[in-house]
Formats: sequence, structure tokens, C-alpha cells
Amino acid sequence: MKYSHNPTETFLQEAAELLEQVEGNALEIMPGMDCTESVNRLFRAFHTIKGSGSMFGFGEVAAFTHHIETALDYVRVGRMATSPELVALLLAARDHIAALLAASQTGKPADAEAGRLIIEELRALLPKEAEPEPAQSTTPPPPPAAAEPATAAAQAYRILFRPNINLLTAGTDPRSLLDELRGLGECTVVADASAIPALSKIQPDGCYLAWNVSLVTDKGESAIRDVFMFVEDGAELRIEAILAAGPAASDSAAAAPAPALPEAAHAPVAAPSPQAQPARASAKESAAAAGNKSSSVRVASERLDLLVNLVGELVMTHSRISQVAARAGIANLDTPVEDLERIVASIRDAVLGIRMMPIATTFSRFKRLVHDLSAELGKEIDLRITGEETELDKTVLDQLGDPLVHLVRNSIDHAIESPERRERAGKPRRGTIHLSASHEGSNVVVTIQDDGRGLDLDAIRAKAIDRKLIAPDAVLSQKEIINLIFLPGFSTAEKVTSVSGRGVGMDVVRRQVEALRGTIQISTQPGAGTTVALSLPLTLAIIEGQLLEIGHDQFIVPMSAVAENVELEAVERTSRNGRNLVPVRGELIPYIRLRDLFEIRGQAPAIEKIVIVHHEGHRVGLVVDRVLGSHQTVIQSLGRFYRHIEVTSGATIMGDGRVALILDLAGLVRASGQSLGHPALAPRS
Amino acid sequence: MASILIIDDSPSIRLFLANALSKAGHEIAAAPGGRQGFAALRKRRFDLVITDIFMPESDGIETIRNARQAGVLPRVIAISSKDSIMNLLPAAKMLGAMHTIQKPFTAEQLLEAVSTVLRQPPPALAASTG
Repeated sequence: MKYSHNPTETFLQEAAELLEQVEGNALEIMPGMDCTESVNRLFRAFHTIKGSGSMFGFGEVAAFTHHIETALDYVRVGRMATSPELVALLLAARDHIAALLAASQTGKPADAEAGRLIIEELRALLPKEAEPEPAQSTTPPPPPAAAEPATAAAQAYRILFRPNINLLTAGTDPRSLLDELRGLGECTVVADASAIPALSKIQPDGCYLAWNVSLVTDKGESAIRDVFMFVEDGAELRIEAILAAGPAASDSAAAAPAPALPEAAHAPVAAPSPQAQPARASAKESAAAAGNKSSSVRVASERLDLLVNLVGELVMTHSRISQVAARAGIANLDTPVEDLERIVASIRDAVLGIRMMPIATTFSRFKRLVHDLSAELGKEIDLRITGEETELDKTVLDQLGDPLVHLVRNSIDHAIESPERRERAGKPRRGTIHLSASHEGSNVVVTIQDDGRGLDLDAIRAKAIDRKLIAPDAVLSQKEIINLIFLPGFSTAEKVTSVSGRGVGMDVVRRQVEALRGTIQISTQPGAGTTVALSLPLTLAIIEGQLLEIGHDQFIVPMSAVAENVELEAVERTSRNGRNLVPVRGELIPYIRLRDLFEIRGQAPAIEKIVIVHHEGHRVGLVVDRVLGSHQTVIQSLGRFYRHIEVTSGATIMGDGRVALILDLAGLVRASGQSLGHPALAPRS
Repeated sequence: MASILIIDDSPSIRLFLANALSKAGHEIAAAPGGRQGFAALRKRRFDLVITDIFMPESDGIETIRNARQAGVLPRVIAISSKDSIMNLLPAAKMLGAMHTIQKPFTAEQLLEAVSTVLRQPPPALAASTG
């Protein structure tokens, strides 16, 4: 479980992370948009996979990746445009590399044919003259030309100029020549200092520098030759039209694109002022993306979980100590116990903070999902993501994936219409799904919003009647009709597609969200779209709750759900139609007697307390003996054995060693048979 | 035994280098990028820096240049990939890398390069400021 000390294993982890980045960046490439950064990041990721792969015996991976790197370089230097085909191939390449890496683990060979096809298709995309060289070639490809693609009439040239060693004494400033070249068009100058001799052999006034120049110009080769007209004597001058002649680099190693040197103190002549180097520039551009990663430490999540559990124990042990200290009545103990409390609280917050992760990784999975599924269904869908920096506990994030996938699939499959249908409805051809996350109090709200057709309330109602979920004459509000889709066995899919309708309904989604102590809300506007909002706690490890007592048993209800506490006098208790209802400021609120539900013996006090909580937009009362106040506590799972108990979501150990159950509102409501979540089932009062 | 600073953004390469070099008895420090590597160079003196050239953010070239300008440049071995489109090793050499290695390489090749370079005197640190 600990971080591997084996470089090969580390490489496999690293490659997996890089491949994930590849997916994200590939999907950011949109037609007609500036995607330089994405391309640079893709290039870098493939570059690392190739380099490190070759080190640790993944020769096949390195050889395959070389082709991808080559193709991306054409894009990087503006000699090839991005296209949906390229994105698809990059994704396919990503999958193939993953398969090759997996093959090394399982021993089962990967599909070599698939790799060959990807390379072939990639090659077909490359500019006609620019066949990629084989992986084994040591010939450096052409230096990156100007970053912007050449215009139709422009032509890219590669120029090598190695002047006569006496250039300077002859009175020529090489910089003026280079400036002239720059005047002709988009120009990159790279100094080649490889010919500088050892100091003892150096001729102080000699010019030992040569220059490699990439120039995109529409002025023609003769204009370039004119620049060098007076200095050609004794100089080496080569001018190659890159696109026409192809990239067959015949130059010596000196042609390798070396970056221009910003300071030239060690060169005999002042080097030309440097142009922005593609490598350097791209490094800066992607700094934002890669910057924070390097200063982090990776730790297996099991270790963090262990730490969180230990902190939980620490918190509880501390409260035991403070109770014992209070009872012992030793005044000298007060200060250290208080100090301990402060430190324990800081440790708890710090440890829980470590597990907080931005939701970005979860969200980025959907780019691929939307891309692939919309293609499969012949729909055109853009995915918009906002608030991806919002942080949630890793355990919440891990369990959030499934329900989100289901909801996004629903949007793609059912909500967004076909392009033709959208046009007929006067909407843009491309549909949009908007994933967003934001903080709302102590919760994080994740919304999935689409601009599709919206929920068909009549169809939902009809189906519910058909499935005998509601009476044909039931009077339902819009919200109540929407909530019908959460009922077990309800599915709005008209037909079963490969996308959804596999028997997993919205009821499962709701259960998954509730298992995270979250709530789910849907709003819809016919013809204009649907919004599903999931409200989730920041962490599962800790709960801010209200401590309740019935007899000698203590319970905790999440503070975020509590609306108010009122008193219930014996005379006020009314039972209408067998339901417990209490009037609170004119509104009749159903209540659950926890004493009855948990079968707690003993006499209830004359005046009981009702804790009014929100549950799915309804108000529900929980009748208890006493409200003891707010209590922040670490949640302990009851373990697998008690998993089926739905009225609690966990437990916590109190300072005196007693166990307090943490109430699960949704489970409570279900267990007490009040079906408040499904108002359609309950007679309206 | 020498003190060696490894600068590479790839964790697997860092690990590989650190394993090989510490087995040979060297004292190892590692930095995941040029920025951190440069910071380490400013903090203490190393006998040798082994740096990747192609890195995000601050690449090897920039790191060597920064170290040179700050007068804290020790011996340098630069690493890059074979057949890389971005062949920057000549540039690294120009800036003062004493040796270059191309991936893939073996631990033996690495150690040989290291001992060759360590036999040479360190560059005059303040020589080429400005």
C-alpha cells in the first residue's frame, strides 16, 4: 500500500496519471479555438511516457508513443491543424498505450493491429510531404517553425548561416543580417555555438557562431539570398524550403534546435537577441497546470484513512479525559486538558483537510463520456464545467462518480435532443450539459444542468399511474410529479439504449446520494432543460450535529437539516387519520416519535421537544425528550454487519463512553412509514 | 562519494537515478522541477547536478542558466530522450553541461558518466556571471 520503491512500478503509476491528463487535454481541443496549451501539455505527457517508458523496458510503448509525439509536434509548430479526427486518434492512442502497459502486467499481449491502425490513420492526417520518420531514426526533424501556421502564400524556410570567421573584422554586424531576416516574416533564430574552440585556440575577433533560422515568409527565396549577398564569401549558407522539400534533415547535428542564448558573455560575439523558444514558451504557458503538482507528496489513501480513524479515536479519548478530569475535580488538570482540546481540534481539521480534493478529477472523466456517448447517439453536445476547484472529501468524491455518471448519461440519452430536432425547436444544434460545483454553507452543491427537452410531466404521471404508483385521480404538484421518478421501478426511458435504461433507475441514484448524507433535487422547464442539484456534505468523517436524548439514549441529527426546535405538550398531540401531526405556526407538520421507533422504555416527560428538520423540501418533526445542544463529532461506521440498518448513518462514542447513533433522516422517514419523500403516496392533509 | 542533486519531473526516473546513485554510495537529493532544483542549488553546494532537459515550467536549460547566473553551478550532467524532437542536449552542453546522456540508459552507463564527470574539476562558479 505504500508508495512503491520500484522505478518500474512508479512509472506505471506515473503513466496512468499522464494518460489521464492526456484524455483531459485531448478533449479540450475544440475546432476553431486556441488550444496551444492543451497541445503542449499533450506533447509533454507523451514525451515523458516515451522517455521513461524506454528506460524501464517498455520499448513497445516508447516506439508507439514516438509516432504520437511526432504528430503532435507538427501541430505544435503550426504545420498541422487540430481536428476531431486527431482528437479521436489521440484518445485511441491513449487507450492503446494503456492496453500496452496493462499487457506488461497481465502478460497477455495487447492488440498490435490496433496500434498499427492508429499509426496509419495518424500518418494519413499528417501533411502530405511530412511523413514521420521511423522511431529509430536519429535525424533531428526540422526545427519548430514559427508558432503560427503559415498563410496560404507563405513558405517556410530553414536557413543555416555559418559566416566566414572574419565576418566581424570585415565590418559586418551579424545582428543586422538577422534583423533583416526578421523583417521578411515570422522568424525564429537559434544560435549554434558548437564551433567555438577551446580558449587557448580562440581568435579573439573571430566569429565562431552559426545560426539556424526558421523563417516563414511570402517574399520568396531570392529575398532571403539578398540578405546574405555581401557576406556569402567564405560562408556556409544553406536555404531549404521546408514544406516543398520535406523535412528530410540532411544537416549535421548542428541543425538541432538549440535555444537562443539570452546571455552571450561566453560567446565571442553578441548573440542575436533570442526569439521566444517554443520549448520555453510552452513551458511557461503550461506552468499553471503543472505548477502545483511538483511540490506535493503522494500518499496512499489507505494511510490517510488510517490517520482519520486515529484522529477520531483521539478526539473521543480526549473527551473522555476531559470528563474524567472534570469529575476528579483536580484544578491543575484544567489547563492541560483545554490545551489538549485545542491541539486535537487543530489536528482533526488539518487531517481532514488533507483528504479534501478538488472535484476536477471527477468532473474531467465526463469529458470523455460526453464525447463518446454523444458521438454514439449522433448528438452534438458541449460539456461545460465550472467550479472544478471546489474541494470535497476524497471518500465523498469516490462515491460521487457513479450517481454523476448516471445523471450525465440520462442527460445525454434522454434530455438533449438530436441536432435536427433542436433546430426545429429553434434551439442551437449543439446541446450543452453544464456540470458545476460550489459551496453552500457546510455543503457542496453539484449541479448537472442541460438545455434539453425538459421532463415530460404528463408522461411521468401517466407512467406512474400505469405502474400503479399513484392513484389515477391523485392531485400532485409539479415537484411531487418530478419526485415520482425517484420511486423504485420507475424508468422514463422509452426504449432501452446502450446508454441508459439498464435497470438502474433514479431510485438507485437517490440512494447513492443519500448514502453520502446528501440530498437530490430536480427542477425542470419543459422545452428548456432540466437541472439536477446534489447537495453533499464536505466530508463524511465529521458531522456537526444536534445532540438529542430519549431516556438514557443519545442521538445525533445533522445540524444542517435542523430548522427549529419546538415544544410538544401532551395536549397538543393530535393524531389525524392515524398520522402524527402537530400544528407549528399554522402549518400541520408530521412528526416521528423516536421513542416509539427505537422502542425506548420509560415514561416520556410531560413536555417533549420536537426537532423540526428539513427533508426533501418537507418539514418533519422528530419527537425527543431533550435537546442537549450542538455537538461536533467524528463519525464511526457501524461496520458491514449493520449495513442494512437504514435509520442510522453511523455512530459516535460520547465522552462518557456511551454510543450515540447518528440519525439518517431519509431512512427514518422510510422506516416510520410516512413516505414523506414520496408525497404522492401520502394523503394530502 | 559525492553529493548529487537530481532534477527530473518524472518520479520514475528520479527513483531510478536515486536508487542507482545511492547504491554507488553517493549522497542524493532530488527535486521535481527546475524551480525547486535551483532553490536547492542556492541553499547548499552539490558536487554534481543531474537534470532532465525537457520539463514543464522551468526546464533544464533555464535551470542551468539560472544556476550559472547565480554563481552556484556545479558539474552538470543533462539527460534527454533519444530521438527527441526537442533535442536540447547541444544547448545544454553549450551552457556548461559537462556530459549528456540519452534515454534509455542503464545504471552502469549512468555511473560511468558520473564517475567521468566527477573526475573533472567543477566549473569556475563565478566565471561567467552576466
